Amino acid sequence: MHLLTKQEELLLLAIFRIRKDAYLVNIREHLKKHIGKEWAFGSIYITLEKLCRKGYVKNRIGAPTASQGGKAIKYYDLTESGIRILKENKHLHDKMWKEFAENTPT
Amino acid sequence: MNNTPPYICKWIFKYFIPEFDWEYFFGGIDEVYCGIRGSKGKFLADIWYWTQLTKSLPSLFSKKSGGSFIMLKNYFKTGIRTLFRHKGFSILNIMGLAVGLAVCILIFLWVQDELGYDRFHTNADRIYRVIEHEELSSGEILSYSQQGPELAPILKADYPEILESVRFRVLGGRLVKFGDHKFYEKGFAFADPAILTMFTFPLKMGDPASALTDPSSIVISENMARKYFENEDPLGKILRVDNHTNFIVSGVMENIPSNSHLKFDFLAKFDSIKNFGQPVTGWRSFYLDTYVLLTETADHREVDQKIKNVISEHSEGSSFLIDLQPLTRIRLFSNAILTPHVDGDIKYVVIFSLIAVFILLNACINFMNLTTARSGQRAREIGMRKVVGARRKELVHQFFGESLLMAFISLIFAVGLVFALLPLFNQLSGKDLPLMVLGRLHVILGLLGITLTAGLISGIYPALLLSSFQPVSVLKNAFRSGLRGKAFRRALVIFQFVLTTVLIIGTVVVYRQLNFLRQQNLGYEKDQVMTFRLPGNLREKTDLMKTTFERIPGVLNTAAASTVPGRRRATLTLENWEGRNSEDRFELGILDVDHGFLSTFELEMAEGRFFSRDFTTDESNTVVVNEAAIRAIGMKDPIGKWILGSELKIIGVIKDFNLRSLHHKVAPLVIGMRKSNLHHLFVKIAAENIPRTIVSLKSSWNSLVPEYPFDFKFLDEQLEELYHADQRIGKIINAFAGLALFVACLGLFGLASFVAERRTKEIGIRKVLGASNPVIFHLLARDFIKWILLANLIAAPIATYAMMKYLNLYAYHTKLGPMVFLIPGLLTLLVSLLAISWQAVRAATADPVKSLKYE
Repeated sequence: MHLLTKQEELLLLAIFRIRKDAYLVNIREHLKKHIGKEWAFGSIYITLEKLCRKGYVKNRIGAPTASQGGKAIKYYDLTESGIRILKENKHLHDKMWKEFAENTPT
Repeated sequence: MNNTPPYICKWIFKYFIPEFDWEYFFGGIDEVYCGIRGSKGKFLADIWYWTQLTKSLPSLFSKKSGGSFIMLKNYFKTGIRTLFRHKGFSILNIMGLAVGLAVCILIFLWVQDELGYDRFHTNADRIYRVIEHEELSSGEILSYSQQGPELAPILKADYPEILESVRFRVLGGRLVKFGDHKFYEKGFAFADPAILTMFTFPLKMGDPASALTDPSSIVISENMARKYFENEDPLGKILRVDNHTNFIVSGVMENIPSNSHLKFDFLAKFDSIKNFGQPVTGWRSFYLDTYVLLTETADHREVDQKIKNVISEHSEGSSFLIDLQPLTRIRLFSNAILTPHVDGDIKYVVIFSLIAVFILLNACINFMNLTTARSGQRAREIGMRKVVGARRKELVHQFFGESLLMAFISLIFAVGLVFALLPLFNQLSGKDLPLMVLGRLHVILGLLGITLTAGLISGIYPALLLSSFQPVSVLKNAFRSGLRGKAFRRALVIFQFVLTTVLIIGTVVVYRQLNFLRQQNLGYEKDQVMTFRLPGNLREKTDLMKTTFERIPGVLNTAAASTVPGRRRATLTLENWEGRNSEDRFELGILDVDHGFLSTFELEMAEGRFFSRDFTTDESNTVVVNEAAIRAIGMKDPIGKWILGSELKIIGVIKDFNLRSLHHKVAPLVIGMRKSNLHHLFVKIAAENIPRTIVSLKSSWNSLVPEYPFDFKFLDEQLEELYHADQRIGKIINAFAGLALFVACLGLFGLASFVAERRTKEIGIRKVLGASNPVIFHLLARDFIKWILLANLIAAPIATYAMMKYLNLYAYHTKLGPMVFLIPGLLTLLVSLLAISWQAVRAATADPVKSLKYE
């Protein structure tokens, strides 16, 4: 099983939560809103491309829009394997955290 | 509207990381950029854009190829190591670049300041000054910044595009009195109340909307508030001006920033100017500046067309056309306009920028020369890199990186130099640039830009040359150090010295011209003449003062006149004289004098007689004209004929003298005797016992007119002031020429030491075979001397051309003699010989045994 980095995990989740038409700008906005961290464009873009290569995400080129100066937007959608890897990671996560939550002295 | 983000930024990133798929990436950033730009403006958005891209860099690099980032580290390391291994060369390079950059920064600050004039006004881009134009019969068009008092109200009332109009006039030399404090004040201005709302002259105390509604109210600057009232509350205090008019302080304004073309310390309501002898109605007396504020939507060219003929519509017989000059252009683009306050000129901005570029270029050339000359030492490294798979492009980047590293190290030193030199530069340039300017964002961006450019320029040739080496020949050791690019290097050195020599020739010419101005015969005697102002009711006592002063031993003569020679004088358009048979019109200067004028200034008559007490009619309807006026109108036998009006008879023709500065030719002049216009008193004293004469003058002044301070200037000192701007420019050019020479010699020094090192063995053998020290010295110095002589030959015609242009700014100027070219030639030769002689002498006197064992 592939262990996702935190950033990868958050990006996949963001794409999932946005559901439709997730792309560079609104993914970044989303992360900013919910996590409060403002990632560099480059860093997000590179990770997205990496996820594409690994097959967790597939991209689709939209129609040219005025908001991007007449250029097309690259949208990202989760793939089957993307959802699977998220589930696996979540499972693993829960397992690892479980003990911590139960046995931490307060 | 153009919404595109900075192009260069995109270009830089695309160029350096070409493999990256940029399109969709930029798409996203651009979108956010447009949003920010919409809400926060272009400047902040641009900054955001750059920061975002820079922040993205690390990730982009790691994506590009794992190795590239590691190689960057390697390049950096190699760069630093080379820097430290060749300490001498590095120091030369960094020193040269630091000096070049420091000069650039200083000039950049200077240019910033010049270009920033009057931009602090909130409405700066909507304020205009009215300019009028008049065509003379010679075809020459005269432009004036000054108009009559009735224009401004008409402009505001009749044209909806003009929101506000302001009349403005400084009447210098007012005597301002409060209690025991009495001073002559230069910056005493009169203006319409709207000046406080239209321009941005914020008030510390008082209300801008009402501060000038009362004709007896006055607004003063903070400095003046302190000077007259110290810690007291200035509001409501009464200032007595010229001993005849009282003003009540109604506001205190912040001191006017130094980059304002409008300068004043006192601001009274325009209407009160009538108490100071100026009319507040009429179209014909042109003595005040008119400023207008346009509406936000108005286009000033359209308004130009509409208001073009206003003056001729309202004032019969006038042929003046008017148009509008943008406020922000007044400082630098007023050279062709006759106006009281011009001292900036776009020409100097261009010249100084060019000099800065020259010096920086000199420093960059040093870097190119020294790096390529030593290319042999790097050849193996380059060969090795190529063998293990470096592509040419990567090597190019490596060498660019090294030059950029050098440039940025130099920047640190340059900023230090600027800190040290700024006070000196301020003194030299007469500006008041604070050290803090270095902290401003656009200045920092400017500095980084300059440094980047310097780094790229100096890197370009080494990068291309070094990366072109063939690994096979380099590694086989067939490569001879430093032979590559020798011709190019020679060309660069010659180019450097051409630039330097042109600058030095420029310095010599400017110096000679300034000397020439000082020694030029003005046509009148300017030594030991004291000048006094005669404000207000002091004028009534002129005759009494004159007779009293003339009785003092040591006083030779006294005179009164309407203006001090060299100062601006009144003019009118001459279009009426006896025997006029054409439509000719001329600009005519007017001067009012009294009987003593001719003898005090030791002027001579060409024809006829000067005013005399023997003729009582002289005071009302006679005039004296100068030769230039007679020449202009072509009058024959002028004595007894009339000029200007049929009642004004010419009684004499005076020999031409320079009433204005030597920038201008002697212009037609008419001299009259209107008593009310005698604003200045001149006292000619003997050259002996000057202090004693002054003391007795002072006591006699104080007993006659105790309410006025005894305040005088010598005429020759005042004339010097006319050339202050020229002298300042001369000094700056002088300093920069010296720096250029210094930088060029640094390079020469480096090259000489390189040549000496390369020929160590040859020199050893020559010495063993019996060559004497002078022969060796000659051997080494020969090439350099040839280059410098050649550079001088090339520089001469370029400098001649440039200097002819400069000298033509003056109506009277010195000639370009052979000395102008010989002195700089000898100077560059001498200094560069000094620079290379240390190396040459060392090589020549070295022990041949050691040099043969070398390597």
